[in-house]
Amino acid sequence: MNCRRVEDLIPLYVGSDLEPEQAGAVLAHLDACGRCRRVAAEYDKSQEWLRSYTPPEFGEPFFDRLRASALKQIERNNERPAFFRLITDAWTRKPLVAAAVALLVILSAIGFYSFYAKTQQRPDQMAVDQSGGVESPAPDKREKRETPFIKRVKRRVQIKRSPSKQLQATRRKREMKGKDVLASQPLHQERKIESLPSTELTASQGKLRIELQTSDPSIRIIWLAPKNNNPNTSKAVGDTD
Amino acid sequence: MASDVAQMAAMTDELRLGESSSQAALRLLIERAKSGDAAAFEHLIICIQRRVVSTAWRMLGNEEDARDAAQEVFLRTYKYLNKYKAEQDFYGWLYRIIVNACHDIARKRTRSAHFSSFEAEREMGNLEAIAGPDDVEAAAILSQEQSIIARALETLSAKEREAIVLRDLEGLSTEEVAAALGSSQGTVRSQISSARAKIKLYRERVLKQRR
Repeated sequence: MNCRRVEDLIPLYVGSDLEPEQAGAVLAHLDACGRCRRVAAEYDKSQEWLRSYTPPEFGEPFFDRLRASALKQIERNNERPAFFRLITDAWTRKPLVAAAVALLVILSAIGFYSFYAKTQQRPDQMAVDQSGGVESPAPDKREKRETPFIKRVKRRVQIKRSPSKQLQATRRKREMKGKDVLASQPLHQERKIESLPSTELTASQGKLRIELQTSDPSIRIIWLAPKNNNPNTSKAVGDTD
Repeated sequence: MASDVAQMAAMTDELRLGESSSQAALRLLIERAKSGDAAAFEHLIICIQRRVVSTAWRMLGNEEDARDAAQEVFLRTYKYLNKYKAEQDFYGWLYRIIVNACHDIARKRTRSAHFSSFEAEREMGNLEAIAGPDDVEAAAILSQEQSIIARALETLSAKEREAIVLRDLEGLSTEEVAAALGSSQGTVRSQISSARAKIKLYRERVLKQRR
């Protein structure tokens, strides 16, 4: 054992706190090393100095007063209601427990509020399609995130499932013209030609072209009528009869 | 009734003597105190009061804190006596209460009001009467030395101070100290080693200044 190691062990050696083997090794080194022996002697004196730290002799009146005070306090504590005692004891003894409980309550309240707020954003509403009798699901949160393109596609799918007569005509028109005229037309609304802001009469070869613009800017009715002015023989494209 | 009191007085006298205390007598006293016997509990306090006060004084360094800590120890002993099991070492259990109470009191008090002077203690009437002027001088020198040791203990951390007071001043074994502090024996040894080194260093500095 070298001096450095022994110096670390001397504080425990002087108080008999080493294992027997270690104590033996330190003793053997101290027998051989004068310097370490001097260090051990200084520790012995320090321990003796520390042990002289004795409390003053407190008189009997001191102990009598102390005892009486303690017993009085015990009596006072026993007079308090058990429930009150439980609360005050728990609070003074373990303030950390109280703080932990308070934190738990706060976190539970936050969690409950978050859950409640989420449930309020999904109302149960159903809308019914008057013209086609198709029930469309109530707009939910997902719809808000849907782009206009996705909405158009969905409506197109819904139209394909149960198209009204008007829609059938419009589809035929689309097939003939190759245009997507249903881009922004809502399914559940009846398409009525409420006003005819303008008409165009186009004379083509043997046919009179009549174009009618509906209130929906994306829908235009084109009527090819024969030039002989006989209304019975005319045939309208997009006729919904 | 009178025979019970006499019996208890005899038991407490025996216990007060310390080393020759009968474990069985102590257990009997504790059992009676647990069952609600107020006289038995008071006798139990009489048995432990000097040990409690001296340990608290060594840990806290002044009479006022030691008194408050001792009162707290008695209250906690009363409160938790029903949790004490007969197979446990009573003094080991008691020291744990003393350490915790001293720790709580130390946290409340400022460190500047740690050690009170000899004169202050005498004025409070807590000390035994001093016979003559030689005793006064001796007592003053002793008080000065005690003050220096108290300051040396103040240089230690709370854990180191508790460990060294219990081990070197109260005479508990390392195992008992570990149980009282709620630590492992290895930790206690480390704290004791560090504390002794710091005390030695402090003493050397004081001696150097005196030369």
